[in-house]
Amino acid sequence: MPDASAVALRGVRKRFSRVGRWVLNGVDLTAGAGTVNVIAGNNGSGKSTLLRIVAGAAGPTEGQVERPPRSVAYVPEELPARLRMDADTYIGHLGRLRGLDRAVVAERSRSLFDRLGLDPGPHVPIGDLSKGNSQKVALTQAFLAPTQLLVLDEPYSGLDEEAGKELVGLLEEARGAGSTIVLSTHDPAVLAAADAAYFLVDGQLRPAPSWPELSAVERPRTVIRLVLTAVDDRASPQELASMPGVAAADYDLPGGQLVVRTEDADSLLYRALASGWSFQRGHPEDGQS
Amino acid sequence: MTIALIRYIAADALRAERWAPPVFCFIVATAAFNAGGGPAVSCYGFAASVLFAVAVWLTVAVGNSEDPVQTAITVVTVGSALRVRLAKLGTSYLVCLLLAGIALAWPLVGSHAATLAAVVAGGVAQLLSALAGVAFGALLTRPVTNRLGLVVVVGVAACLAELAIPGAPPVRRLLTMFGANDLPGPADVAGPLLLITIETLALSALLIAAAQAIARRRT
Repeated sequence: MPDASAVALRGVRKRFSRVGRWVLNGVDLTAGAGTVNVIAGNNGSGKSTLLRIVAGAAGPTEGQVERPPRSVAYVPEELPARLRMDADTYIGHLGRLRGLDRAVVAERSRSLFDRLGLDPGPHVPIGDLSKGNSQKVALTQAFLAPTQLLVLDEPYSGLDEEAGKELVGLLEEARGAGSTIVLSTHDPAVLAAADAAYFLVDGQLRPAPSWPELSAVERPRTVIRLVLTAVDDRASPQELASMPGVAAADYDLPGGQLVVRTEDADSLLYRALASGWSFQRGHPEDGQS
Repeated sequence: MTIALIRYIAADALRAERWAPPVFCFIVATAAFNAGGGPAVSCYGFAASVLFAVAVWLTVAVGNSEDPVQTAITVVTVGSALRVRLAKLGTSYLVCLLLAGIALAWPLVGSHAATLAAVVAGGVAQLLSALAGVAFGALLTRPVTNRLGLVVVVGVAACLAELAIPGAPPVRRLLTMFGANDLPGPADVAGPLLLITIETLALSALLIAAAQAIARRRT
Protein backbone atom coordinates (compact mmCIF):
# COMPACT_ATOMS: atom_id res chain seq x y z
CA MET A 1 0.00 0.00 0.00
CA PRO A 2 1.70 3.20 -1.11
CA ASP A 3 0.00 5.46 1.41
CA ALA A 4 -0.55 4.86 5.12
CA SER A 5 -3.98 6.48 5.04
CA ALA A 6 -5.25 4.92 1.84
CA VAL A 7 -8.24 2.61 1.63
CA ALA A 8 -8.53 -0.05 -1.03
CA LEU A 9 -11.37 -2.48 -1.69
CA ARG A 10 -10.86 -5.11 -4.36
CA GLY A 11 -13.64 -7.35 -5.64
CA VAL A 12 -15.63 -7.02 -2.42
CA ARG A 13 -18.79 -9.12 -2.30
CA LYS A 14 -21.12 -9.45 0.64
CA ARG A 15 -24.09 -11.57 1.54
CA PHE A 16 -25.44 -12.40 4.97
CA SER A 17 -26.21 -16.07 4.52
CA ARG A 18 -24.83 -18.86 2.40
CA VAL A 19 -27.70 -18.67 -0.10
CA GLY A 20 -28.71 -15.03 0.30
CA ARG A 21 -28.63 -12.38 -2.38
CA TRP A 22 -25.36 -10.53 -2.96
CA VAL A 23 -25.83 -7.11 -1.36
CA LEU A 24 -22.44 -6.07 -2.71
CA ASN A 25 -21.32 -7.77 -5.87
CA GLY A 26 -17.78 -6.82 -6.84
CA VAL A 27 -17.01 -3.43 -5.33
CA ASP A 28 -13.67 -1.82 -6.17
CA LEU A 29 -12.76 1.39 -4.42
CA THR A 30 -9.55 3.24 -3.74
CA ALA A 31 -9.45 6.35 -1.60
CA GLY A 32 -6.28 8.30 -1.00
CA ALA A 33 -5.21 10.21 2.09
CA GLY A 34 -6.73 13.66 2.41
CA THR A 35 -9.63 12.99 0.05
CA VAL A 36 -13.40 13.09 0.47
CA ASN A 37 -15.10 10.13 -1.20
CA VAL A 38 -18.86 10.17 -1.49
CA ILE A 39 -21.15 7.26 -2.19
CA ALA A 40 -24.72 7.83 -3.35
CA GLY A 41 -27.38 5.29 -4.15
CA ASN A 42 -31.02 4.48 -3.66
CA ASN A 43 -32.42 3.32 -0.34
CA GLY A 44 -31.52 -0.32 0.17
CA SER A 45 -28.74 -0.23 -2.43
CA GLY A 46 -26.20 -1.41 0.17
CA LYS A 47 -24.49 1.87 1.06
CA SER A 48 -24.60 1.19 4.79
CA THR A 49 -23.27 -2.34 4.31
CA LEU A 50 -20.45 -1.01 2.14
CA LEU A 51 -19.56 1.68 4.68
CA ARG A 52 -19.52 -0.86 7.54
CA ILE A 53 -17.08 -2.96 5.52
CA VAL A 54 -14.91 0.09 4.73
CA ALA A 55 -14.86 0.97 8.44
CA GLY A 56 -14.14 -2.59 9.54
CA ALA A 57 -17.36 -3.07 11.49
CA ALA A 58 -18.11 -5.98 9.18
CA GLY A 59 -16.03 -8.20 6.95
CA PRO A 60 -16.59 -8.96 3.27
CA THR A 61 -17.79 -12.42 2.23
CA GLU A 62 -15.26 -12.31 -0.63
CA GLY A 63 -12.60 -9.89 -1.73
CA GLN A 64 -9.93 -7.80 -0.02
CA VAL A 65 -10.10 -4.69 2.11
CA GLU A 66 -7.11 -2.59 3.03
CA ARG A 67 -7.45 0.18 5.56
CA PRO A 68 -5.24 1.93 8.10
CA PRO A 69 -4.56 -0.65 10.80
CA ARG A 70 -5.64 1.63 13.62
CA SER A 71 -7.47 4.85 14.19
CA VAL A 72 -10.68 4.51 12.24
CA ALA A 73 -13.87 6.34 13.21
CA TYR A 74 -17.39 5.39 12.18
CA VAL A 75 -20.64 7.34 12.34
CA PRO A 76 -23.75 5.19 11.76
CA GLU A 77 -26.88 6.50 10.11
CA GLU A 78 -28.58 6.72 13.48
CA LEU A 79 -27.63 5.85 17.06
CA PRO A 80 -29.95 3.21 18.54
CA ALA A 81 -32.82 4.39 20.73
CA ARG A 82 -31.83 1.62 23.13
CA LEU A 83 -28.62 3.42 24.10
CA ARG A 84 -29.18 4.13 27.77
CA MET A 85 -25.99 5.99 28.64
CA ASP A 86 -25.96 9.75 28.54
CA ALA A 87 -23.72 11.48 26.02
CA ASP A 88 -20.96 12.31 28.51
CA THR A 89 -20.71 8.76 29.84
CA TYR A 90 -20.81 7.17 26.40
CA ILE A 91 -18.22 9.51 24.92
CA GLY A 92 -16.05 9.00 28.02
CA HIS A 93 -16.07 5.23 27.51
CA LEU A 94 -15.29 5.50 23.79
CA GLY A 95 -12.47 7.95 24.53
CA ARG A 96 -10.90 5.45 26.92
CA LEU A 97 -11.30 2.70 24.28
CA ARG A 98 -9.20 4.94 22.02
CA GLY A 99 -6.65 5.21 24.83
CA LEU A 100 -7.30 8.92 25.34
CA ASP A 101 -6.75 10.71 28.60
CA ARG A 102 -9.92 11.45 30.58
CA ALA A 103 -9.24 15.21 30.69
CA VAL A 104 -8.54 15.35 26.95
CA VAL A 105 -11.82 13.57 26.21
CA ALA A 106 -13.76 15.90 28.52
CA GLU A 107 -12.30 19.02 26.92
CA ARG A 108 -12.61 17.82 23.35
CA SER A 109 -16.18 16.53 23.74
CA ARG A 110 -17.25 19.76 25.45
CA SER A 111 -15.90 21.77 22.53
CA LEU A 112 -17.56 19.46 19.97
CA PHE A 113 -20.91 19.54 21.81
CA ASP A 114 -20.69 23.34 21.78
CA ARG A 115 -19.72 23.51 18.13
CA LEU A 116 -22.44 21.14 16.97
CA GLY A 117 -24.99 22.60 19.38
CA LEU A 118 -26.05 19.56 21.44
CA ASP A 119 -29.10 21.23 22.82
CA PRO A 120 -30.43 19.26 25.82
CA GLY A 121 -26.89 19.02 27.21
CA PRO A 122 -24.66 15.98 27.74
CA HIS A 123 -26.58 14.41 30.66
CA VAL A 124 -29.67 13.18 28.83
CA PRO A 125 -29.80 9.45 27.92
CA ILE A 126 -28.90 9.16 24.24
CA GLY A 127 -32.04 7.12 23.56
CA ASP A 128 -34.14 10.11 24.64
CA LEU A 129 -32.45 12.57 22.25
CA SER A 130 -33.96 13.64 18.94
CA LYS A 131 -32.49 12.20 15.73
CA GLY A 132 -30.45 15.33 15.11
CA ASN A 133 -29.06 15.51 18.63
CA SER A 134 -28.14 11.83 18.80
CA GLN A 135 -26.42 12.37 15.44
CA LYS A 136 -24.33 15.06 17.12
CA VAL A 137 -23.25 12.56 19.79
CA ALA A 138 -22.30 10.07 17.06
CA LEU A 139 -20.25 12.77 15.32
CA THR A 140 -18.58 13.79 18.58
CA GLN A 141 -17.23 10.27 19.21
CA ALA A 142 -15.86 10.19 15.66
CA PHE A 143 -14.03 13.52 15.95
CA LEU A 144 -12.65 12.95 19.50
CA ALA A 145 -9.16 12.35 18.15
CA PRO A 146 -7.59 12.64 14.71
CA THR A 147 -8.11 9.42 12.76
CA GLN A 148 -6.62 8.14 9.52
CA LEU A 149 -9.99 7.02 8.21
CA LEU A 150 -13.42 8.56 8.81
CA VAL A 151 -16.50 6.67 7.64
CA LEU A 152 -19.84 8.48 7.90
CA ASP A 153 -23.25 7.08 6.94
CA GLU A 154 -25.47 9.95 5.77
CA PRO A 155 -23.98 12.33 8.33
CA TYR A 156 -25.98 15.36 7.19
CA SER A 157 -29.41 13.78 7.47
CA GLY A 158 -31.28 15.04 10.51
CA LEU A 159 -28.73 17.76 11.31
CA ASP A 160 -29.90 21.36 11.59
CA GLU A 161 -28.33 23.91 9.28
CA GLU A 162 -25.83 25.28 11.82
CA ALA A 163 -24.60 21.82 12.75
CA GLY A 164 -24.40 20.91 9.06
CA LYS A 165 -22.06 23.84 8.47
CA GLU A 166 -19.93 22.82 11.47
CA LEU A 167 -19.73 19.30 10.04
CA VAL A 168 -18.50 20.70 6.71
CA GLY A 169 -15.80 22.51 8.71
CA LEU A 170 -14.87 19.44 10.77
CA LEU A 171 -14.58 17.30 7.64
CA GLU A 172 -12.47 19.96 5.95
CA GLU A 173 -10.13 20.06 8.98
CA ALA A 174 -9.84 16.25 8.98
CA ARG A 175 -9.18 16.23 5.25
CA GLY A 176 -6.51 18.90 5.69
CA ALA A 177 -4.88 16.75 8.36
CA GLY A 178 -4.66 13.89 5.87
CA SER A 179 -7.67 11.77 6.87
CA THR A 180 -9.32 9.62 4.27
CA ILE A 181 -13.04 10.39 4.38
CA VAL A 182 -15.72 8.08 3.00
CA LEU A 183 -19.35 9.10 3.39
CA SER A 184 -22.76 8.41 1.92
CA THR A 185 -25.31 11.04 1.06
CA HIS A 186 -28.43 11.86 -0.92
CA ASP A 187 -27.42 15.53 -1.10
CA PRO A 188 -26.29 16.59 -4.59
CA ALA A 189 -24.30 19.48 -3.12
CA VAL A 190 -22.21 17.08 -1.01
CA LEU A 191 -21.79 14.84 -4.04
CA ALA A 192 -20.65 17.74 -6.21
CA ALA A 193 -18.11 18.97 -3.64
CA ALA A 194 -16.39 15.57 -3.23
CA ASP A 195 -12.96 14.61 -4.54
CA ALA A 196 -14.49 11.39 -5.86
CA ALA A 197 -18.15 10.45 -6.13
CA TYR A 198 -19.77 7.10 -6.84
CA PHE A 199 -23.22 5.62 -7.28
CA LEU A 200 -23.88 2.21 -5.78
CA VAL A 201 -26.08 0.36 -8.29
CA ASP A 202 -26.77 -3.39 -8.37
CA GLY A 203 -24.11 -4.00 -5.74
CA GLN A 204 -21.37 -2.25 -7.73
CA LEU A 205 -19.82 1.20 -7.62
CA ARG A 206 -20.08 3.37 -10.71
CA PRO A 207 -18.26 6.69 -10.86
CA ALA A 208 -20.76 9.52 -10.55
CA PRO A 209 -20.69 11.70 -13.64
CA SER A 210 -18.36 14.64 -13.18
CA TRP A 211 -19.40 18.21 -13.88
CA PRO A 212 -17.97 18.37 -17.43
CA GLU A 213 -19.61 15.06 -18.33
CA LEU A 214 -22.96 16.24 -17.03
CA SER A 215 -22.77 19.55 -18.88
CA ALA A 216 -21.82 17.82 -22.14
CA VAL A 217 -25.11 15.93 -22.28
CA GLU A 218 -27.39 17.35 -24.97
CA ARG A 219 -30.68 18.61 -23.62
CA PRO A 220 -33.56 20.43 -25.25
CA ARG A 221 -32.84 24.12 -25.05
CA THR A 222 -35.77 26.02 -23.65
CA VAL A 223 -35.29 29.11 -21.56
CA ILE A 224 -36.14 28.45 -17.91
CA ARG A 225 -36.57 31.07 -15.25
CA LEU A 226 -35.09 29.90 -11.93
CA VAL A 227 -35.46 31.57 -8.55
CA LEU A 228 -32.66 30.82 -6.07
CA THR A 229 -31.73 32.07 -2.61
CA ALA A 230 -28.27 32.19 -1.09
CA VAL A 231 -27.94 29.87 1.93
CA ASP A 232 -24.27 30.35 2.73
CA ASP A 233 -21.21 32.51 2.12
CA ARG A 234 -20.07 30.56 -0.90
CA ALA A 235 -23.03 31.75 -2.97
CA SER A 236 -21.80 34.24 -5.55
CA PRO A 237 -24.31 35.87 -7.95
CA GLN A 238 -21.47 36.90 -10.26
CA GLU A 239 -20.20 33.38 -10.58
CA LEU A 240 -23.60 32.00 -11.52
CA ALA A 241 -24.33 34.89 -13.89
CA SER A 242 -21.12 34.14 -15.79
CA MET A 243 -22.01 30.51 -16.46
CA PRO A 244 -22.55 29.38 -20.04
CA GLY A 245 -26.18 29.46 -21.08
CA VAL A 246 -27.23 32.15 -18.62
CA ALA A 247 -29.28 34.69 -20.51
CA ALA A 248 -29.94 37.16 -17.70
CA ALA A 249 -29.56 37.41 -13.95
CA ASP A 250 -31.14 39.75 -11.41
CA TYR A 251 -29.91 39.79 -7.86
CA ASP A 252 -30.95 43.12 -6.41
CA LEU A 253 -34.32 41.90 -5.32
CA PRO A 254 -35.83 42.05 -1.85
CA GLY A 255 -35.11 38.93 0.18
CA GLY A 256 -31.71 38.18 -1.42
CA GLN A 257 -33.20 36.16 -4.26
CA LEU A 258 -31.43 35.53 -7.52
CA VAL A 259 -33.53 35.20 -10.67
CA VAL A 260 -31.72 33.71 -13.65
CA ARG A 261 -32.89 32.93 -17.14
CA THR A 262 -31.01 30.06 -18.67
CA GLU A 263 -31.11 27.64 -21.57
CA ASP A 264 -29.41 24.92 -19.51
CA ALA A 265 -31.31 24.74 -16.25
CA ASP A 266 -29.99 21.28 -15.30
CA SER A 267 -26.34 22.34 -15.36
CA LEU A 268 -27.01 25.64 -13.68
CA LEU A 269 -29.01 24.03 -10.92
CA TYR A 270 -26.34 21.39 -10.35
CA ARG A 271 -23.69 24.07 -9.99
CA ALA A 272 -25.90 26.35 -7.90
CA LEU A 273 -26.85 23.66 -5.36
CA ALA A 274 -23.21 22.76 -4.96
CA SER A 275 -22.15 26.32 -4.31
CA GLY A 276 -24.40 27.62 -1.56
CA TRP A 277 -27.70 28.27 -3.32
CA SER A 278 -31.10 26.87 -2.56
CA PHE A 279 -33.73 26.24 -5.23
CA GLN A 280 -36.99 28.14 -4.70
CA ARG A 281 -38.99 27.71 -7.90
CA GLY A 282 -38.64 27.57 -11.64
CA HIS A 283 -40.81 27.65 -14.73
CA PRO A 284 -40.43 27.85 -18.50
CA GLU A 285 -39.90 31.41 -19.74
CA ASP A 286 -42.87 32.51 -21.79
CA GLY A 287 -41.26 35.58 -23.25
CA GLN A 288 -42.72 37.96 -20.72
CA SER A 289 -40.96 38.72 -17.49
CA MET B 1 -7.52 -1.17 26.68
CA THR B 2 -8.96 -4.58 27.51
CA ILE B 3 -9.91 -3.24 30.94
CA ALA B 4 -11.52 -0.17 29.35
CA LEU B 5 -13.46 -2.47 27.01
CA ILE B 6 -14.72 -4.70 29.83
CA ARG B 7 -15.67 -1.65 31.88
CA TYR B 8 -17.65 -0.24 28.97
CA ILE B 9 -19.43 -3.56 28.30
CA ALA B 10 -20.21 -4.00 32.00
CA ALA B 11 -21.49 -0.42 32.30
CA ASP B 12 -23.74 -0.89 29.29
CA ALA B 13 -25.03 -4.30 30.41
CA LEU B 14 -25.58 -3.06 33.96
CA ARG B 15 -27.97 -0.40 32.66
CA ALA B 16 -29.99 -3.00 30.73
CA GLU B 17 -30.80 -4.92 33.95
CA ARG B 18 -31.15 -8.17 32.00
CA TRP B 19 -28.35 -9.57 34.15
CA ALA B 20 -30.63 -9.50 37.21
CA PRO B 21 -32.86 -12.57 36.62
CA PRO B 22 -30.03 -15.09 36.11
CA VAL B 23 -28.01 -13.66 39.01
CA PHE B 24 -30.93 -13.80 41.44
CA CYS B 25 -32.02 -17.23 40.19
CA PHE B 26 -28.55 -18.50 41.01
CA ILE B 27 -28.49 -16.96 44.48
CA VAL B 28 -31.95 -18.32 45.33
CA ALA B 29 -31.01 -21.78 44.00
CA THR B 30 -27.79 -21.80 46.02
CA ALA B 31 -29.63 -20.74 49.16
CA ALA B 32 -32.27 -23.41 48.63
CA PHE B 33 -29.79 -26.22 48.20
CA ASN B 34 -27.70 -25.13 51.16
CA ALA B 35 -30.74 -25.04 53.43
CA GLY B 36 -30.45 -28.77 54.12
CA GLY B 37 -27.45 -30.39 55.79
CA GLY B 38 -25.16 -32.94 54.14
CA PRO B 39 -21.68 -32.80 52.68
CA ALA B 40 -20.45 -29.74 50.82
CA VAL B 41 -19.70 -31.72 47.65
CA SER B 42 -23.38 -32.21 46.93
CA CYS B 43 -23.87 -28.44 47.15
CA TYR B 44 -20.92 -27.94 44.78
CA GLY B 45 -22.25 -30.43 42.27
CA PHE B 46 -25.63 -28.77 42.30
CA ALA B 47 -24.17 -25.26 42.11
CA ALA B 48 -22.01 -26.27 39.13
CA SER B 49 -25.01 -27.53 37.18
CA VAL B 50 -27.06 -24.41 37.96
CA LEU B 51 -24.08 -22.17 37.15
CA PHE B 52 -23.92 -23.72 33.69
CA ALA B 53 -27.47 -22.62 32.92
CA VAL B 54 -26.95 -19.24 34.54
CA ALA B 55 -23.75 -18.68 32.54
CA VAL B 56 -25.62 -19.37 29.28
CA TRP B 57 -28.34 -16.90 30.31
CA LEU B 58 -25.89 -14.22 31.47
CA THR B 59 -23.82 -14.50 28.31
CA VAL B 60 -26.90 -13.94 26.15
CA ALA B 61 -27.93 -10.99 28.36
CA VAL B 62 -24.50 -9.33 28.25
CA GLY B 63 -23.84 -10.23 24.61
CA ASN B 64 -27.14 -8.76 23.41
CA SER B 65 -26.97 -5.66 25.59
CA GLU B 66 -25.46 -3.51 22.84
CA ASP B 67 -27.59 -2.73 19.81
CA PRO B 68 -25.91 -3.97 16.58
CA VAL B 69 -25.33 -0.35 15.48
CA GLN B 70 -23.71 0.42 18.83
CA THR B 71 -21.56 -2.70 18.44
CA ALA B 72 -20.40 -1.44 15.04
CA ILE B 73 -19.07 1.74 16.66
CA THR B 74 -17.38 -0.24 19.43
CA VAL B 75 -15.77 -2.62 16.94
CA VAL B 76 -14.44 0.21 14.76
CA THR B 77 -13.17 2.12 17.81
CA VAL B 78 -11.38 -0.95 19.18
CA GLY B 79 -10.32 -2.13 15.72
CA SER B 80 -11.33 -5.77 16.13
CA ALA B 81 -14.70 -7.54 16.18
CA LEU B 82 -13.06 -10.60 17.73
CA ARG B 83 -11.74 -8.61 20.68
CA VAL B 84 -15.15 -7.09 21.33
CA ARG B 85 -16.87 -10.48 21.21
CA LEU B 86 -14.26 -12.07 23.49
CA ALA B 87 -14.50 -9.14 25.90
CA LYS B 88 -18.27 -9.68 26.14
CA LEU B 89 -17.70 -13.36 26.92
CA GLY B 90 -14.99 -12.33 29.41
CA THR B 91 -17.33 -9.91 31.15
CA SER B 92 -19.97 -12.63 31.49
CA TYR B 93 -17.33 -14.99 32.84
CA LEU B 94 -16.23 -12.44 35.45
CA VAL B 95 -19.80 -12.21 36.76
CA CYS B 96 -19.90 -16.03 36.87
CA LEU B 97 -16.69 -16.03 38.93
CA LEU B 98 -18.43 -13.81 41.47
CA LEU B 99 -21.34 -16.24 41.63
CA ALA B 100 -18.92 -19.17 41.86
CA GLY B 101 -17.32 -17.50 44.88
CA ILE B 102 -20.71 -17.28 46.58
CA ALA B 103 -21.51 -20.92 45.81
CA LEU B 104 -18.11 -22.04 47.09
CA ALA B 105 -18.23 -20.12 50.35
CA TRP B 106 -21.86 -20.79 51.28
CA PRO B 107 -21.56 -24.44 52.44
CA LEU B 108 -18.42 -23.58 54.43
CA VAL B 109 -20.17 -20.83 56.35
CA GLY B 110 -22.99 -23.26 57.12
CA SER B 111 -22.38 -26.56 58.86
CA HIS B 112 -21.59 -28.75 55.85
CA ALA B 113 -18.86 -31.35 56.10
CA ALA B 114 -15.98 -30.68 53.70
CA THR B 115 -12.41 -31.62 52.96
CA LEU B 116 -9.82 -29.32 51.38
CA ALA B 117 -9.86 -31.52 48.29
CA ALA B 118 -13.63 -31.09 48.10
CA VAL B 119 -13.36 -27.30 48.23
CA VAL B 120 -10.62 -27.15 45.58
CA ALA B 121 -12.56 -29.55 43.36
CA GLY B 122 -15.70 -27.47 43.96
CA GLY B 123 -13.87 -24.33 42.86
CA VAL B 124 -12.52 -25.94 39.69
CA ALA B 125 -15.97 -27.37 38.99
CA GLN B 126 -17.55 -23.89 39.11
CA LEU B 127 -14.84 -22.50 36.79
CA LEU B 128 -15.40 -25.25 34.25
CA SER B 129 -19.19 -25.10 34.36
CA ALA B 130 -19.16 -21.35 33.93
CA LEU B 131 -16.72 -21.60 31.01
CA ALA B 132 -18.83 -24.16 29.17
CA GLY B 133 -21.97 -22.11 29.85
CA VAL B 134 -20.37 -18.95 28.47
CA ALA B 135 -19.21 -20.89 25.38
CA PHE B 136 -22.74 -22.22 24.75
CA GLY B 137 -24.08 -18.71 25.33
CA ALA B 138 -21.74 -17.38 22.62
CA LEU B 139 -23.66 -19.50 20.10
CA LEU B 140 -26.99 -18.06 21.24
CA THR B 141 -26.05 -14.39 20.99
CA ARG B 142 -26.40 -11.85 18.18
CA PRO B 143 -25.35 -11.86 15.41
CA VAL B 144 -25.24 -15.68 15.48
CA THR B 145 -28.95 -15.75 16.19
CA ASN B 146 -31.50 -13.18 17.22
CA ARG B 147 -34.56 -15.44 17.43
CA LEU B 148 -35.67 -15.49 21.04
CA GLY B 149 -37.73 -18.69 20.65
CA LEU B 150 -34.76 -20.55 19.20
CA VAL B 151 -32.46 -19.18 21.92
CA VAL B 152 -34.75 -20.43 24.70
CA VAL B 153 -35.31 -23.86 23.14
CA VAL B 154 -31.63 -24.48 22.35
CA GLY B 155 -30.52 -23.02 25.69
CA VAL B 156 -32.82 -25.28 27.69
CA ALA B 157 -31.90 -28.26 25.49
CA ALA B 158 -28.19 -27.63 26.14
CA CYS B 159 -28.81 -27.56 29.91
CA LEU B 160 -30.85 -30.78 29.81
CA ALA B 161 -28.25 -32.47 27.61
CA GLU B 162 -25.50 -31.51 30.05
CA LEU B 163 -27.50 -33.08 32.88
CA ALA B 164 -28.85 -36.14 31.09
CA ILE B 165 -26.21 -37.40 28.67
CA PRO B 166 -23.86 -39.76 30.52
CA GLY B 167 -20.27 -38.54 30.34
CA ALA B 168 -21.18 -35.07 29.03
CA PRO B 169 -18.49 -32.58 29.99
CA PRO B 170 -18.47 -30.74 32.25
CA VAL B 171 -21.79 -30.86 34.18
CA ARG B 172 -22.72 -34.55 34.06
CA ARG B 173 -19.10 -35.59 34.61
CA LEU B 174 -18.78 -33.29 37.63
CA LEU B 175 -22.02 -34.57 39.15
CA THR B 176 -20.77 -38.15 38.73
CA MET B 177 -17.46 -37.25 40.32
CA PHE B 178 -19.02 -35.49 43.31
CA GLY B 179 -21.58 -38.27 43.72
CA ALA B 180 -18.87 -40.91 44.12
CA ASN B 181 -17.53 -39.73 47.46
CA ASP B 182 -18.95 -37.50 50.18
CA LEU B 183 -15.60 -36.55 51.72
CA PRO B 184 -13.08 -36.96 48.89
CA GLY B 185 -9.31 -36.80 49.31
CA PRO B 186 -6.92 -35.38 46.69
CA ALA B 187 -6.48 -38.76 45.01
CA ASP B 188 -10.24 -39.08 44.45
CA VAL B 189 -10.62 -35.84 42.47
CA ALA B 190 -7.24 -35.08 40.82
CA GLY B 191 -7.51 -37.59 37.98
CA PRO B 192 -11.14 -37.02 36.99
CA LEU B 193 -10.80 -33.22 37.27
CA LEU B 194 -7.81 -33.09 34.94
CA LEU B 195 -9.70 -35.03 32.30
CA ILE B 196 -12.85 -32.93 32.69
CA THR B 197 -10.77 -29.75 32.46
CA ILE B 198 -9.18 -30.84 29.18
CA GLU B 199 -12.54 -31.88 27.72
CA THR B 200 -14.25 -28.67 28.81
CA LEU B 201 -11.48 -26.46 27.44
CA ALA B 202 -11.66 -28.25 24.09
CA LEU B 203 -15.46 -28.10 23.95
CA SER B 204 -15.54 -24.42 24.88
CA ALA B 205 -12.86 -23.47 22.36
CA LEU B 206 -14.82 -25.31 19.66
CA LEU B 207 -18.11 -23.60 20.54
CA ILE B 208 -16.56 -20.12 20.71
CA ALA B 209 -14.72 -20.63 17.40
CA ALA B 210 -17.96 -21.79 15.75
CA ALA B 211 -19.82 -18.77 17.14
CA GLN B 212 -17.11 -16.46 15.82
CA ALA B 213 -17.20 -18.04 12.36
CA ILE B 214 -21.00 -17.64 12.10
CA ALA B 215 -20.90 -14.13 13.56
CA ARG B 216 -18.36 -13.01 10.96
CA ARG B 217 -20.64 -14.03 8.13
CA ARG B 218 -23.74 -12.49 9.63
CA THR B 219 -22.28 -9.09 10.55
